[in-house]
Amino acid sequence: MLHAAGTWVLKDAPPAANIVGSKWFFKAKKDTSGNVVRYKAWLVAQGFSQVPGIDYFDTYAPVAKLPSIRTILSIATRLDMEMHQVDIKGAYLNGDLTSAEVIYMKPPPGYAPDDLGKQVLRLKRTLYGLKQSGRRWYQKLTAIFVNGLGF
Amino acid sequence: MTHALIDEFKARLKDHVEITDLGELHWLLSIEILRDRQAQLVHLSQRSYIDAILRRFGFEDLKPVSIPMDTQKTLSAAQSPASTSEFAAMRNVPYREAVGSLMYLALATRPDIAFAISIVSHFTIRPGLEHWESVKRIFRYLKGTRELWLTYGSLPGGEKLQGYADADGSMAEDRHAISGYAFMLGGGVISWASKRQEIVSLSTTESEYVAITHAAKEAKWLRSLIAEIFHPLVDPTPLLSDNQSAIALTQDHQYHARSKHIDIRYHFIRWMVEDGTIRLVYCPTEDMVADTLTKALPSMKVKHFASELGLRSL
Repeated sequence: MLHAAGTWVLKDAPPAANIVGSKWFFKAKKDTSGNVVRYKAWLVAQGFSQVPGIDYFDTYAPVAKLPSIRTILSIATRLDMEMHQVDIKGAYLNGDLTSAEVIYMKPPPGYAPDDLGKQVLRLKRTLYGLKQSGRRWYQKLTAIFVNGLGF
Repeated sequence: MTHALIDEFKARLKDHVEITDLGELHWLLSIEILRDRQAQLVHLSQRSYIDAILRRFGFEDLKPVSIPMDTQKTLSAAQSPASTSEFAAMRNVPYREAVGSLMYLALATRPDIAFAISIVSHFTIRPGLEHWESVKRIFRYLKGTRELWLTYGSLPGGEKLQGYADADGSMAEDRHAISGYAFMLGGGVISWASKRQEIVSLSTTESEYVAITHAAKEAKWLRSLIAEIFHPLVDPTPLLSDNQSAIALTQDHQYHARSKHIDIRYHFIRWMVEDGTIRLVYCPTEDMVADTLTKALPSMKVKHFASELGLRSL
């Protein structure tokens, strides 16, 4: 998933560069009766080690308010409208970092291609945990709706 | 036709991102959504979330109760721990975590516990045993009412947006009154709040006035949301209050000696009456559904207002 999305390239970091930490996050998905159905692993960036003004700039992104959701549910029901839902897989991995956001990340534990040497991961796209991920994903989705789907 | 449009939208979205089609809306932010197309109703519940938090805090075996907050009991900062032994007794109590997990319910589908949560959340800094007992009571109330579903749709009287605003200050030890509002649409409450007022009022009229202003701002926002997504609302939104003198204040530009201390920003509401955003309407206290957002009520009223707000059993 991560490789396919072109999330990073291997690079030597400049000597003074801030290297953001990384970490694996594991979870056992259970069904309603508590049996494990799937094991999930996320690679997360340790956003707390990002430097403001260098690694990230604005981080705001709109979030749906619950009253908005309920208002829409109420009116759509009265009007007998269709209501469907989709889940976007790895939503945050779709966000693009801007050219100003040069972020180097420590390779995650266990990630060791043969020729790694002293190289680190130069991020191309947002990861879970980065400060700007929410905002970059919001911008990406807006671009898809406006430019791609013509809304 | 509509189905073709939805399929096309999903297909086109797939050109840009990887998606899982979850079909008709049935689950959103831990809210279970049941739709009855025949009756044109939608029912929302967080019963699995309630079960999960009862389990998380080890409250599965608590006895259910019919009200979320004791009407006789007043919580105050004086009940916070003072001695070493009192602090020790509270050390391992997950007060903040419990209040936090109840907060999400109060925000999403359970206006009937909103007032109780706003009260117990005042004591998260230094909670005492009395405060913790009040938190437990909310869990017990939820245990007995987990099958209440917030319902909207083609219900009588649900065609128009209508708001209720109320205030109560009698039980607050610090003299800060509580504002409550509820906006009804489609037979159920779509927006509500129970909030401690920032100012100290000198009269009930003043605190009711503050509550009306708080509600009026929400009315303005809801109207613009509905206008943007569906259609503009032509008529002013009725805002119901059980305080005649607060209503009079909103309609009168005259300078009253007894009300000139009221902060200028609360007169914002007069403009909203003039520009046709809202219309103040008197409502007798027994029909004031926002009452349940401003004080602890006895069981009969708790049930009545919960049902008026659209919380029903299936």
